[in-house]
Parts: sequence; structure tokens; C-alpha cells
Amino acid sequence: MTPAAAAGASAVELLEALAIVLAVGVTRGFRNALTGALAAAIGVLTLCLVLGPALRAGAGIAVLRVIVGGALLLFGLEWLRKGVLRVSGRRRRASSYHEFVEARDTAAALPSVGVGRDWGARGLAFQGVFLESLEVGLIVLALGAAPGHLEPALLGAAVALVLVAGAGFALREPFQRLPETQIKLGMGVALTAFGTFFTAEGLHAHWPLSELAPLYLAGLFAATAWLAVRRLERATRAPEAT
Amino acid sequence: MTTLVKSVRRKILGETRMVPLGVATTVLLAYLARALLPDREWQTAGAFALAAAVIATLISALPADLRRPNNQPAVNQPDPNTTTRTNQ
Repeated sequence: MTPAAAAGASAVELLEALAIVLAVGVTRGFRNALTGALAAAIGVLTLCLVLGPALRAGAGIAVLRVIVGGALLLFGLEWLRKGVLRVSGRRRRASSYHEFVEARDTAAALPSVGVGRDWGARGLAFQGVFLESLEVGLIVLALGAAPGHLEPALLGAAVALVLVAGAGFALREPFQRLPETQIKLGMGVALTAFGTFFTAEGLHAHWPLSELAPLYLAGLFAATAWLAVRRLERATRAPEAT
Repeated sequence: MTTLVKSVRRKILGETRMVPLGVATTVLLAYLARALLPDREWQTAGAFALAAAVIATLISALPADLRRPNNQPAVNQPDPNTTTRTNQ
């Protein structure tokens, strides 16, 4: 389940990073877009290479599990919250294509800074890719910090990177029909389930069926999200009916 | 630079204060319960109490009309937990 969670969470965030790179590339040149994106990727990778070993060396196994669980809960619950709002119609649906259009308009409106080298475009690509890949880095770091989970988490993220980069190279435009809202909601459920599981393990609480606990926890959180969506939809429809 | 720092904070802590506050409270209460309860009871019930606290955090971070009796929407009252920001 760890590689799937890492791959899914990484893929949806990398799609947004890809949308920004493509938008800057189309309007200001791919050389500038890729330079900014590469600098951002190196920055995030360096941060993870510093944070990862420091986290592993500085904390005992139980404390590490609570830190990992807390971090996954932070990301998972936020994705779950946004997912419920999107599916119930309280928030605009997730779409890398919209992100692409917005970033393209921003890039087109930017003044050219620097002779030969477009620093404005590079900065835009850097900021977008840094923010999206920072989330990927922190989620993979959290999933991989639990004992025995590093290789599966890295494998999942690598598969996501290859798939998203391949799709971007082939299509030269983000997907328009990908159900990103539902995928993000699903990833929110998975991250919250892992976060709850690791936090309880770190606090020496026992789960029935032990390693299978993330599966029924995911079911529990998915059911909660579904009920929340239904109630919010009903509340939205109520004033229209009267 | 300030925009980047704000965006990083928003990426890590989220758009509402309820999620980070709820997670911190959940972990602190779990440590407290573990210290106060007998080991056997904590080991049996602790995990489910934690899951319940996570669900409570999620519900408290969602708009208030979700929690109202009869599920009535808030009238003329902007919800502090719901922003109209982009789709990040």
C-alpha cells in the first residue's frame, strides 16, 4: 500500500508542477521553464536529503512514528477537507488544466527581465515547481521514514515521476479529463489512514489485524468523507428548494 | 520571497488553522491518555480513540453547516474554514 500511496500522492502533485512548466515553456521558452524547474527540483531534493537522515538519526523509533504519523495526518486531512469541499460543490474542482491556463496567462503578462536569460520566467517555473514538489518530497519523506517503508515510498514516487514526465513529453499539455478531484480525495483518505496508523503505533496502541489496519481505516475515513459530502450537498440544495 | 514563504507555510500547514490545531491536540491528548490510563486499556482502546479524534478534526475543519442540527446552511455568515482560493 505504501508504493501506491506514494505514487498516487506524488503523481497528482507532479501533474500540477508539470502544468506550470508547460505553461511557462509554451509562453517563454522551454529552456527557461526547465532551468527554473531543475533548480527547484535540486532545492527540494537537497532539503529532503538533509531532513531525512537528520530525522532518522535524531529520533527513537516510537517518536519517529509519531512524527511521521503527524506529518501524514497534516497532509492527509487537508487533502481530505479540500476533496470533500470539491466533491460537494463548495470549491472549484482540482484541475491541472486550469492551473496550466492560469500559469500561462501569468507567464504571458510577465515583463522580460535579463538579457538572453528570462529570469522572470525562470522564477515563475521555480516557485511553482518548488511548492508542488516540496509537498511530494515531504509526503515521500514521511511515508519512507517509517521502518521498512523507504524503498517502497521511493519506488512509488519514481514511478509517478516517470509517468508524469512521460505524459508531459508526449502530450505537451496537461490532461483535461483526469478525475483529479476524486484522485486527490482518495489520496487524502490513504494518507490519513497511514498517519493514524503510524501515530497509534508510535504511542504503543494496538490495532486489530495489525498490518491490515490501514485498509479498514481507509474504509472508515472514506465513509466519513462520503457522509460529509452528502450532508454538505443537502445543505447547499436546501435554500434552493425553499 | 515573502510570497514563497507564505505559500510554503500554506502547503505544509494547510489553509485553515483547524487541521494543524486538531492534529497537535490529538497527539497531545493521546500522550496524556497513555500516561493516565493503565497500559492494557490504552493498548486496547487507544488506537480507536485516536481514529475518532482524527475524524473529529476533519469534521471541525469542514464548514459549520455540516454540524448543524437538521443540516441547515449558515445564512449571511461567511465560513472561516472555507476559502474561495484556487484549486491547489
